[in-house]
Amino acid sequence: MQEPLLLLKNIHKQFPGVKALKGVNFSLEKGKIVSLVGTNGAGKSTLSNIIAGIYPPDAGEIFIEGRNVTISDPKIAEQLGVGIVHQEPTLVPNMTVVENIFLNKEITKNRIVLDLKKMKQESEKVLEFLGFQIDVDKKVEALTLVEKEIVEIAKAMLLKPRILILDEVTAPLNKDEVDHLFKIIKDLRNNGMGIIFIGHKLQEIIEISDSIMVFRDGKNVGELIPSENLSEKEVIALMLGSILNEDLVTGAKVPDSGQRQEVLKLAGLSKQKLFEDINFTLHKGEIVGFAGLKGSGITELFQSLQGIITFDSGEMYVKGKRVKFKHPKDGIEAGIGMVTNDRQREGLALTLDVKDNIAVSSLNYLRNKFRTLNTKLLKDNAGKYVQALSIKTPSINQFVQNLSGGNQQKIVIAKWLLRNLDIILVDEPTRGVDVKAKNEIYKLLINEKNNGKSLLVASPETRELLSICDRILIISGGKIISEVYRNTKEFNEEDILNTIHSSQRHCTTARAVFQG
Amino acid sequence: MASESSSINGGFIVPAKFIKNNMLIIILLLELIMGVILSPVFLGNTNVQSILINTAIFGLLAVGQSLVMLVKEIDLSVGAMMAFSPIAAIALAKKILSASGTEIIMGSNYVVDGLFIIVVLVLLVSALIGMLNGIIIVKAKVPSLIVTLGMLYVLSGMSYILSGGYSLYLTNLKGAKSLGSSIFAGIPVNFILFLAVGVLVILVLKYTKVGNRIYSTGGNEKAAIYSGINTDFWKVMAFGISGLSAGIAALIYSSRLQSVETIQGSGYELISIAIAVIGGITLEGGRGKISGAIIASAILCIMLNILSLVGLIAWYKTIIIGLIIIGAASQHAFSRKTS
Amino acid sequence: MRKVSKLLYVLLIVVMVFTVVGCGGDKEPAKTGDNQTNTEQPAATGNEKLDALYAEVAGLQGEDALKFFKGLKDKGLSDAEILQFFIDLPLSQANEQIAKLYKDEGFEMYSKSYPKGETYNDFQWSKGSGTKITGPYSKNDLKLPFTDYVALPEGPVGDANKNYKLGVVFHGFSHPWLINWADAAKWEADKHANVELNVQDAEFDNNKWASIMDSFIAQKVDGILVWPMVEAPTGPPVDRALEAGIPVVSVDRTSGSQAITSRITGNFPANGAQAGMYAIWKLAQEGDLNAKAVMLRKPLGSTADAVRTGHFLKVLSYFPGIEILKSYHDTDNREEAFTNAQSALQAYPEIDIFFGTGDHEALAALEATKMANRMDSRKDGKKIMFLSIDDSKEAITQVKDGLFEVNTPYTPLISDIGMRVLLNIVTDSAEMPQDVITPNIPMVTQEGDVIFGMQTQTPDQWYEYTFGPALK
Repeated sequence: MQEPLLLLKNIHKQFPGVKALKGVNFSLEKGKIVSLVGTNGAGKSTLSNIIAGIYPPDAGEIFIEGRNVTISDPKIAEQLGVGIVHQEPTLVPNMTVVENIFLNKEITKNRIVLDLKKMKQESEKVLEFLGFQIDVDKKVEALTLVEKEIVEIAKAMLLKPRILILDEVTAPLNKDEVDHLFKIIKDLRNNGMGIIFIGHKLQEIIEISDSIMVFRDGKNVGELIPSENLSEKEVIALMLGSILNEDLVTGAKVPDSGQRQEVLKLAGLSKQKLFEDINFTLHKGEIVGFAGLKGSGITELFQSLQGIITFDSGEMYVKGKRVKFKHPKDGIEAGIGMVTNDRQREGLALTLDVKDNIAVSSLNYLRNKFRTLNTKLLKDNAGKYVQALSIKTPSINQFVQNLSGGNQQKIVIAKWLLRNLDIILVDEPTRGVDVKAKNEIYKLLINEKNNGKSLLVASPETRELLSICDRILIISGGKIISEVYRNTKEFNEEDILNTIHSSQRHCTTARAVFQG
Repeated sequence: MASESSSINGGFIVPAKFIKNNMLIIILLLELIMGVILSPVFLGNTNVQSILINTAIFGLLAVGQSLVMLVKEIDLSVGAMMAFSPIAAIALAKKILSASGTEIIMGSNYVVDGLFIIVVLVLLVSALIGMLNGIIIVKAKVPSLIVTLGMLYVLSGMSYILSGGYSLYLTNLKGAKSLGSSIFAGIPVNFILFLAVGVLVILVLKYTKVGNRIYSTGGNEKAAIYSGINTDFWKVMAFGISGLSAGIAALIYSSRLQSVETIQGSGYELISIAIAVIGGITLEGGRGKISGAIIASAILCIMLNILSLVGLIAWYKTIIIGLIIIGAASQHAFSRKTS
Repeated sequence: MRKVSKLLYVLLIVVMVFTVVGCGGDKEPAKTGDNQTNTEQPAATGNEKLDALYAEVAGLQGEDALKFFKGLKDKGLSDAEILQFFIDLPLSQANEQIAKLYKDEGFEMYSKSYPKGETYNDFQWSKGSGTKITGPYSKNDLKLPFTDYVALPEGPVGDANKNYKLGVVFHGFSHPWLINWADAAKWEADKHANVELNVQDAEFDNNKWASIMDSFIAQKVDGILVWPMVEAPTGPPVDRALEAGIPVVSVDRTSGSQAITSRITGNFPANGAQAGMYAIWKLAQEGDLNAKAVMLRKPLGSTADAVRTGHFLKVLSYFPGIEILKSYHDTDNREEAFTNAQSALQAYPEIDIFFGTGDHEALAALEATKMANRMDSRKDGKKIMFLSIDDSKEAITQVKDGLFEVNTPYTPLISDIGMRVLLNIVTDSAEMPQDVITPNIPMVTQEGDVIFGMQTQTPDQWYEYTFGPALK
């Protein structure tokens, strides 16, 4: 029998405080695509980083085509034929495409002077192979998200690796682009390359993989072979193991639209180049979803509702009172809080602890009779929300940078709950959050709705909106193009995606403006 | 689609873009014109030479500082290095040469011999201390702001100890004043040396792998590490070169004033950072060009010269320099945003 | 962690190597100092009357020396001559400790290289003379004491049709002492319509100082007035100006140039000598010539510190009963001086005298002593003596209030003399000596005493001449 292309035996890896890998065995044959799936922190990226030589394993052996190897740094991995596209961006913004693709692999004339011409030709060749035309002299910071991802892949492909690791490459790509990429990946596989694919979108994974390796808690717990019959549910079940095996939460009771109180009303709200003529009303105890593609203007609409940016024209009413916010604090004072889509940069102070992050927006209400901070009250409240939202943290004094993505997201939400705001805007509530935490966050949002709060939720995952929202507004090119209500027949994923994509063809020019 | 829209706009941005991309040169030219209008002696030999020697000293510091800033660090020790490296070199040279019976210091504080070995030691000491900065920063993982601030104090303290607080005279040291005062084809030799160093650094950054190493280390350290680049090594190198250029600047300074004193160069670390910032090097690392820093050093020195020729009080001078720094940094940030 | 500690060791070793090398280097200047102080014979002053007196006093010590000092007036000496006697007084070997200290620190060398001698045209300063001005830069109300010295009438100088362009370079538009220095120079220049002044601040950077000199040379100014912060680096730029045919005059501190056209120096020797005179006179009044003194001093190696301390010690050297407990140096910084004074108070239970060589030191000593509750801690509850130098308004006020025993003034308001000397040179109006000596200023005591025959000033008499903004 032929030796496997890559064989890992009993790999262990420990980081300060975390056992990331606890004895992983793994093999990759030539001409196969193996996917790694698992909740956040299950050990997928750690494993791929070990293969790529980013850090060494604490124990275990690595064989490449039967040869026992030590991959002590990325350069050696490269020489052994390992190419990797990392989950986090690994491009240097101020350098050109060609400089990035050839970073640390430069071609030189007489070993000193760079051979820029040759490098350009080679880069163009790789990009062409990937089916993209990108100006290789452009600086990476001037590229679109899609182009950046392609450059990352080109960088990994440059030395024609035998083993290619793709860690979360499809996130910024749209359906057509993903399809295109998958075609290339399959071609590569057919030419004998071994490919490790890591992702969160299970549908994609079932579509592309020859085999699915499921990780849980630093171990690989099983292998699934995709077939007609394999469903996402089965994969999730294996990922979550005994922890949880229930269906996704689906919407709570739909409130009757009768005599409900209006809390937010928009009339003709517009902001040049971002959104146009937005009209809608939000009621007390309601969750309204916003569906649309990246760049459709939803994030900016949310920002203008909280006062991060100001809208140009139109009217906005909060509980019947006309308002126009100039600063987020105006929005907060009027009772509107926002969970931003980039929680690490906009939602949290990573170097502060859990209690301070929860309390940061409510400090004025946590004062004692001397008008100074009431630390006991602060601790009590933080503790209350940590418990209520089942935030997993050793204590309320833990630094939030040490918590997982899901728990960080809950802290951002807790921050606004403590402030007791009536309207909460949530942009991408479960970005980078694993399945288990997702469910908890859904429950949390629905619970708040039942407590009489009103929520606006935006998400690129339509299914997420379907499971929690009472109605969904579909946005395209900065305009509301459709509205669907729960318990109607249009309230399903296929119809909504169709609406979005068909509108997309009509307003491509508008999109181009947003992206440019 | 995106590229289409930008090319449409490209048509009428050209003149504005030209100004934006060549802002430093334009400022330099405006200054020259201003200088000629405001003072009849501005273009006189003595004055030009005085500008050039200052440009050489500040420019060298700024080139070293720029390299350090490109790898996303900062070097506050360059000023103190300008005093320490010659003082330490003279103390060491005295030890070394007295073993062979040559006394290089006469009459308590006149240096009279050992020029060659002193120069070699200055370069050696400055490069090594620079690298020591870098090694502490990458190994102990302490921010460079703190390490080099500490080094600033350590070096100036050691300068006092080694010199006893006395100035050293180089007036009786043969050849000591040549670097500070020799003129070749109407241009001070030290300025030619500075240009040579500057051009060498520019060429190396542009045409060899070193440039990519430096820019990637500062631009996205993780990306560089993931590409197998030893970013620690390049940081140490950047600090070594920064130290070395401070050493060369010290040689020019001491040769010009034919003396070595414990306070020489104090405060120059901030000027070097200011020049780098005016030249478009950012504190976020991986961004900016050495050529910008070189032009910026000329801009600053010419501005100082003009202000002193027209006899403006120092109070206004400092305000003008401050405004230039803020203006230049905002302009760079603005032009990045709009490009 | 191990890596870090290893690194720290390496750093420590590097520091130690340099320090060891440094200490080796440190001893050398002191050795050369020895060579220069091996002649202990009184240097001939050129003044026969004084030389004769020095021959007489040479063998005296203690009570005998005191008696001799007390008799100076009766020997027919004027006030000015008495002061001159103490300034040029040779070192005595009577107090071995002081003689050794004087030799070890190389004070003879400093004393010899410091310009001394007669004032221009034998000018004598008299109390109350001078001119009141408002500082052109500082807007302070000032009184220049020496406007009658090298006097120059108001109005155009030299060729009335010619415009004289002069450069002034100094440091410190941000420093009260130095800005008053600039005030006096500017005030003098402003009196003459055909003088155009370009005043530049080098901001305590000698390279900038040199660049400013070069730009003056480029502008072909007619003359340059300078305040050099230190000697060594200021020599070459001055020499370049001289080579270009531009006269250069320094005021207060001296530059490294030997060939400088003219230099106006202050009266460091008079400061030190008078502090010594007062200490001995006061001890004699108290009836006991035994005393313990602490010296709080400016930076080691600075001319002001060395010349003042040297002249102070020379007077004390005739009295074996005086013990110098210790010298503390600071870097011209009141905080440091204060810490030094505190250390001294802690280390020595008996201190009779605090001698400060600069503006900060005596004031810091007073604060520290008050804080330690030691003001009257001498034998029989006598008050500790504070001998101060530099005439800040604060120091003169302390004398008036009886907290300081004495102040010997040193004023920045002498740059007008330098400006007049420069104008005389530039316009070829008068021959100027290379060294223009500033007249000695009598010390300030609370009541105005007669000390060894010399009349002192009262605080009120001198107060109007002090520099700086008015006290609140």
